[in-house]
Amino acid sequence: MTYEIETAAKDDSRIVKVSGAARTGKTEVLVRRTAHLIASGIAPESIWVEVSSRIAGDELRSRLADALEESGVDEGAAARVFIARVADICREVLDDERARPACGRAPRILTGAEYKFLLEDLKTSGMKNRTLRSLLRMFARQWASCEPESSWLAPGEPADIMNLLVSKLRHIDAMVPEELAFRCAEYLKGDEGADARHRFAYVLADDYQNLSRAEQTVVCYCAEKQLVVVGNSNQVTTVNTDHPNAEGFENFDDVRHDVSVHTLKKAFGNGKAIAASAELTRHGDMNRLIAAEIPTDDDMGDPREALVCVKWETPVDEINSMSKYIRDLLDEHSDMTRTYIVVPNRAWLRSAVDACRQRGFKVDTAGMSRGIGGDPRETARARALVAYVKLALLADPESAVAWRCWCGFGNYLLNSDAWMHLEEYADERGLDVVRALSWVSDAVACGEEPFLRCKVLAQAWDTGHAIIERDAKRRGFALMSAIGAEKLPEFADIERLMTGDETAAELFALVYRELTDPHFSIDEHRLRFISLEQLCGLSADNIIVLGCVNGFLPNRDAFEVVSTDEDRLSHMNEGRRELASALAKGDRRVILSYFSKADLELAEKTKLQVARVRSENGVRIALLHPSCFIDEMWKTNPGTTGGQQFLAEHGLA
Amino acid sequence: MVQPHPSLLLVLDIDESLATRETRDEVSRCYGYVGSTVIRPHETPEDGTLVNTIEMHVRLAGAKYLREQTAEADDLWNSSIERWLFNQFHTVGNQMMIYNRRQREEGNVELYFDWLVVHFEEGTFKVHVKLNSVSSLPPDCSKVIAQIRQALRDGSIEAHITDVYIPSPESFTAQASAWEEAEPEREAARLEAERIEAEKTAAAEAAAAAAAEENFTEAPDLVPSDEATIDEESWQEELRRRYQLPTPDFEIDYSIWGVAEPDGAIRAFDSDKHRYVDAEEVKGSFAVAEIG
Repeated sequence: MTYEIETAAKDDSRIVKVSGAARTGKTEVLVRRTAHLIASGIAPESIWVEVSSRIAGDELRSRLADALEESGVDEGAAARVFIARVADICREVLDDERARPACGRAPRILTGAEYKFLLEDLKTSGMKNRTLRSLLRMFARQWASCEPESSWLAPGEPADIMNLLVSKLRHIDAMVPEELAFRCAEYLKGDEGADARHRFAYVLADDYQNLSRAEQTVVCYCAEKQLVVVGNSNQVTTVNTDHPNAEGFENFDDVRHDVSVHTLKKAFGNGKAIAASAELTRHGDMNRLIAAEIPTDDDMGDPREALVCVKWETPVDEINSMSKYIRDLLDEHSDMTRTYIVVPNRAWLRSAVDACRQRGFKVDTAGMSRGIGGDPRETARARALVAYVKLALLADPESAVAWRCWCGFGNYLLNSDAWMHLEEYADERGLDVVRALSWVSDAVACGEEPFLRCKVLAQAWDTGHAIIERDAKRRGFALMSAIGAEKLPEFADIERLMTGDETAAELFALVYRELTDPHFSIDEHRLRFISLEQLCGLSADNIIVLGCVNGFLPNRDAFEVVSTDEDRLSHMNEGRRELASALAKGDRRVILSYFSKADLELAEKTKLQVARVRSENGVRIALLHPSCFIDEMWKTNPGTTGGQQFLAEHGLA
Repeated sequence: MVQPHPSLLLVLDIDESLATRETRDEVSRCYGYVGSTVIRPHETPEDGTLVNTIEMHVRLAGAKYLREQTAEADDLWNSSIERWLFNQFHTVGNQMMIYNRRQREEGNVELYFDWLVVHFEEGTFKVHVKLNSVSSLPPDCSKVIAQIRQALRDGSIEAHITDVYIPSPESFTAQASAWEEAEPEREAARLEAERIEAEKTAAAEAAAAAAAEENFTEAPDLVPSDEATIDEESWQEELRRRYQLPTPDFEIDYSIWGVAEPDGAIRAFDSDKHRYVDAEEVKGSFAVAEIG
């Protein structure tokens, strides 16, 4: 630990800001500060360390346990520190019985799949899809900015859609993810939320620049005695929000009195990779003033491997050969938790995972944002989604969200018209929608038809209840089988995490949590796959980035002529920041792997940036360029090694 | 039955020093939409004070509607003339203020009028309306004139009377004096209000700063103002300032009328009591309502 880090960790000032380039020890400051507080007698439960994800939280907790052990403090205290995302705190705040009346709804956040049903319901407004989506994006942007709705919600279409959105959400007692921090901040700012403020004596926020303004506001309101924020505006990335407020970190000390500022200068780790990362910061919109002293002592392994670019011919070559290399690399390492395979998208993930499994690896894909996909209009193509909704019903037969989804399966419009009539029916009678569904079912059974298409809903109610009656008491793997989730890839990781005795509610909580905030299992023998943005808050020994080609890195939107210059630049800068951040994290080894051509159909489907098209043996082939960021690192770029030579150097040819 | 609509002739009786070519052109341009407008200069009084009068001649083809005790006269007054008067007072009153505002902006000579004299029935009866400090009058003066008409018809005001002043010059003088005497009180109240407002603002700012300090949020005194918002607000304020019409010092109380005898003597008539009153009653019978 350097003097800089120690000083920052022992700073008892009320407000502390720590900034520094990648790998200068910003997160280490938080770890050390937390350890110092606990060693000083502060109750661990009174400390909140804000992290971007459970993945980052797990690593931080592990580092904290080590730091506590070093200090001679019971490392078990690490388990009692509240290490969580802002979203977790927001849900806790708004789930309180005092917050419910102020908010009007429970903080039950819709998952991506559940959101599809809400979107279909919003289309009953008659508004064009494009306009609707544009308005919803505007809402998300404004919620993130934490400006009061009265200041930006214009009368007319925007207000009408907002009213409809809130009405739909009120009926199912839920929220959309984008509004969570905003509603929480509004509540805490108001008189009703006064008692909910200052929940933690100490709040330490990692990567503060990645939080939206609303999230930053929540963080501030939760602190009582001290607030420590760490970050680097050059590392801003969209992890939990599409609208990170980097300015909120840059100007943090300009708009507050008596902020103690620490700037970390010395970087640790892989000198070559950090130098390459620093070189990237000289491009685009990154702040060139945020720089670090590059470590020169390269005592962390073979310097030839510190930063390598490898060129393959085709994606198949890349994946087959890289999996071979990874097998060789990790053969002597039983602990794989410090190696991350970075893949650009889920299509690449599947191929890479298959190839690695064939090499005998067990894998963990928690680092790739997942969801339960499928088209609810055709249940045969949405088996995972159907299983999820069944589980939701079993977990809570009163869940309006679950019933809404259940009632929408198998219909082109997800029965949004019938659901709208159900809402009106419920409002007229002062019922919630679940009670109203039950009434409708009874009415239909008596031969009545309270509104148009009510029979569809009644039928859904009856089948749903039949499932509940049949399977409510099942547990564990039997339950998984009953809902049809057995052997579905979307539930593979869940099965791994199960003890086998979970009730429906427990299993649903597990599934929901993994959907909204996944984490790697503690199994050290699993190869970890991750996306670039999910590397936020992590450190590693080996970072292997697959698919470093234009179109993946940066994504194709950085090149598309259909976008504006501003949009293209924004995508370019985002990709550059993510790569710069990732480069610095590989303490021993960073490998950037790319390929020069691919089948044209595959290239189009996966949105690669095609440089040229030519025919090879009657097949149309897309020629590709390596990521333009590799060129930007030219001063530090060690040059590209051909794939076969790379394998030969490792005795794998 | 559709009632005839009066037409308007405006005569601006102004001091000869103000009746320049530029003034005539400007008046013609500005007042032209109100009605036919004529400038009639008069000699500057020996004491040099400027007294300007604006005359409103109500032209209705010889119709009789003031003293006539007929249903047609009532119908004409109720359905046409009173409302027309209200509208004309609004238009003319507004026009006088707008004219002067423009003259101020251009650095030209402003025209302030002391009295607006309404000529009824070919000038056989005149009502002299005192204008306020910004040379305007409330449109509701049309109701006062309706009361005068009623007083004429029920004999409270004698048939031979041809001029009524609203308010009487004596009443207006008393109101103006009372307003001036109350100036120190008003000033003290204004200062007190400013002090309280300043204290409130300071307290609010201190509370906001304390809340920001407690909640670790942005300190209000350090947050840079949004330039775009400031520019917008400044521009809006500039517009408001530019186009806001002035407010008079005080609202004139028109309840005490001055009924002029042919020999020039003016007797005070209390419209609330519906009778003539003496000077002492005049002094104690009004309250000056301060504007703003």
